[in-house]
Amino acid sequence: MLSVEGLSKRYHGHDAVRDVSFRVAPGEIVGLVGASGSGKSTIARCILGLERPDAGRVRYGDADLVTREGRRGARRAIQVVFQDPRSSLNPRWTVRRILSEPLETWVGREAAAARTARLHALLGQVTLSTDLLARYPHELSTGQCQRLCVARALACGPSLLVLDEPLSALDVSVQARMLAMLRALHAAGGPSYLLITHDFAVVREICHRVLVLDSGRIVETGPVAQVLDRPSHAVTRALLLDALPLPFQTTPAAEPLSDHPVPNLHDATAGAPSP
Amino acid sequence: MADRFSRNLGAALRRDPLGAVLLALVGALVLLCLLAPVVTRTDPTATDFARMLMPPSTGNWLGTDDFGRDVFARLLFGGRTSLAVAAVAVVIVMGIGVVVGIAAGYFGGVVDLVLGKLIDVLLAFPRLVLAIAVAALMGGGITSLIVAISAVAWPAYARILRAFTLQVANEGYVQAARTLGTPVWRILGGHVALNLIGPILVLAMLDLGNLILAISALSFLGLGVAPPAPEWGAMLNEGRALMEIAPWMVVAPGMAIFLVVLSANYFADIARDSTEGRAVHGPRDWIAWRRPRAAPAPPLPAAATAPLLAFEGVTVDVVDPRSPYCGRRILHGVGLSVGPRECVGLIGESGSGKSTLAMLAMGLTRPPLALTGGTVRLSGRDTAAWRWDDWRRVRGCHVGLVNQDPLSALNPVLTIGEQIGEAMAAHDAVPPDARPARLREVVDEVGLPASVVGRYPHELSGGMRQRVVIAMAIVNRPALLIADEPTTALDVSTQRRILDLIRDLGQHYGLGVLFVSHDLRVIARVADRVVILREGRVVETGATAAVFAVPREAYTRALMAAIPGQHRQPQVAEV
Repeated sequence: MLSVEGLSKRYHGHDAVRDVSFRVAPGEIVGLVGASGSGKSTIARCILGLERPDAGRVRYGDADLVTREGRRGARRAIQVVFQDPRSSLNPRWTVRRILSEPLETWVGREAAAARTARLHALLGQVTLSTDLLARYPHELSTGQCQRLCVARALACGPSLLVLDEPLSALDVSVQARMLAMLRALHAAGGPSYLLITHDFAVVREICHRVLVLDSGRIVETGPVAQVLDRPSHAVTRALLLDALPLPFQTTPAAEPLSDHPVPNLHDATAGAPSP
Repeated sequence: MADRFSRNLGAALRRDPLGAVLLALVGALVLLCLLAPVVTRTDPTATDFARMLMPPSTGNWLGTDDFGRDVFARLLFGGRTSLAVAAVAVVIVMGIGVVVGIAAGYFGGVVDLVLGKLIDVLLAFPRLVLAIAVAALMGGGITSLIVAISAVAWPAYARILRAFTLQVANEGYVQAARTLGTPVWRILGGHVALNLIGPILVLAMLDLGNLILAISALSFLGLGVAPPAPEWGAMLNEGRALMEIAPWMVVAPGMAIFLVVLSANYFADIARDSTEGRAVHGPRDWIAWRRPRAAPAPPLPAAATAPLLAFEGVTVDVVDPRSPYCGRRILHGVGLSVGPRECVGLIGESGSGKSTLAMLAMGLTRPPLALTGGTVRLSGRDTAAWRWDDWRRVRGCHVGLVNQDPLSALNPVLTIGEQIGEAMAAHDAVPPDARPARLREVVDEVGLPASVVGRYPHELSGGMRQRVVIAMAIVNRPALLIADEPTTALDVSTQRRILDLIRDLGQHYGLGVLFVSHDLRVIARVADRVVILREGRVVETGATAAVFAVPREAYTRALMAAIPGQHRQPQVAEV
């Protein structure tokens, strides 16, 4: 589906990304892991067409994403959720208008009732209350803002969602519920994910396959179980060692994920805006 | 947006009577000018040499000028010209400025280059000379006046708005809109222009006064409104020579211009704030700082037996009546103490009040929040009576702060050495002649190479920047360090190293550390004791290992269960 071949990008004379190649298959969740400055976000920006690669090809199906025409064709299919949900939402727009933006482009005009039904369905997909439609982003909690960003991306009907550190700005408990939501969305036939993160714990929870990046190069790739439990590259081992361990003993998690109770630490619909 | 604007504007005007009064005065003036032929039957151009330079009287409310013309009638009829020309010119100037500025800023590249050069060329000419040339080329009259004024005024605004556009274009929502496939014109209108509305409003109103004066200057040169037709700027000029014998000739148009410009600027501020969703909070009550001190200044004892930091039944409320959350309680009688060589981990989610607590320890509680109960003690001293300057002497000297974002904590135009030096210069803890040595020492203490001293923040990685922030916090050898989510913005490897650094510094120098985080893994790495905060209340506290081994509260268990990595994605068989 998505195929990246020999991607390279230089910034100010230093190589941000060097000869990176990988694929994301339909229905797959791929983790892209690396330290700060390893080129994770640059790869995402090249895929999204926000940055023009210096060399290499980024293809989506038959569309060449490096050319303007190819991007236009594939634009709807590849969507993104950025790290900082607050800056990703126009502070002067209501939730209704934010969610309507992609619908106006891709669905066009429709009756008000049909539009509202569509908005309600989108909010339902990310488990947000429909009461939020008239609110502004600053009236939502950070977790709600991030869900809204996911809903906006889903409005285009994408087949690949690029998640650029989608959990870093969130509290641990909000992260857990966000992960559960992303998992449920995927299980319900949602898009493939390319998940960019520096946290192996998140990769372990959700990804099928993982790519480890160091100084703009892919140093290791493989199924999550193999890479995380039997890392072959020194960089992967170092990253795994640096990840902070759980501060307590757990029973080995053998139970299926769907039964994993996600702690509901506070009502999902109640906003907790800072005063 | 429009609803919110009018709602906010109405509320702002009710809160701010001066704004409402100014708006009413200008409204009255504009109305009088519009209705000039009805209000006064006097012809503003009718000369009567028998009634030259008469002071204000019942017949001529504002006196007469040197041709015996009624100043009141000239003021009203002149206002029609002045205000109309200024309003049209503002609209044209801002229109061109917005379009050119946004185009140059958003598209960049060739568009920016061409428009940028055009702006440079136009700005290189003195504004008035260029306006005179344009007006002279077009011949006199009001149309050429407007064209001349607009033609020279827009480049400055285009340049300012270009800078604002560059900023907005990098915001996440503009990037998101691009990936959503939103058409460019909609991105420019809905995202970029909409978020420039604040600066646009303020710039437009600021320039109204300049434009009225520019009109008068051109009129004075005979290029605008031809005498004897009245116009405020021209009236000022006519009256200038006779200011001593007939001050009313200057005062009337002068006051009118003053009123319009003042109100426009004042209104622009209110209107700009009304476009914001959030309430805008001014700085805290300056007058309160000047109240006489209830207690003597608090130089803290170097070695005290009391804990370094103690909160006793601390309660914090939202007290600003303008805040929609007024009356909400943020902290409910929180008790917590940090002793020497101790690292206390404060765990809580967003909105639990953990950062509010950290700010209390620095005396940085700001409106709309206020301490409404309990005591905050530093080294045993009650801080209730401390004023701004007392806190200033304590901050950075006895209490150091490391916060989440190392990039925004550092000044981009100062070198690392200068920033750390500034922290030392603010206090007397390190004598001036020992400062260079202390600088080298502290850079080494936080594990940075000595060469970092001459470099700028943008040249460093996130981890190095956070080390610099830590160096600034400990350079004066404080007894207490407040670390508010210091590793949240860092990747796992850097996070681990920074945590180890903070722990080692605490043990080595006997620092007490209050470490605030939402991540239990982080707290477990550094803290001796943990305090778990939920919705402003302490729900569980105890030694770190004990709390995590046998959590008593359901909330603690829920937090523990939420840590990612405890469950695996089932592997798909074939990818």
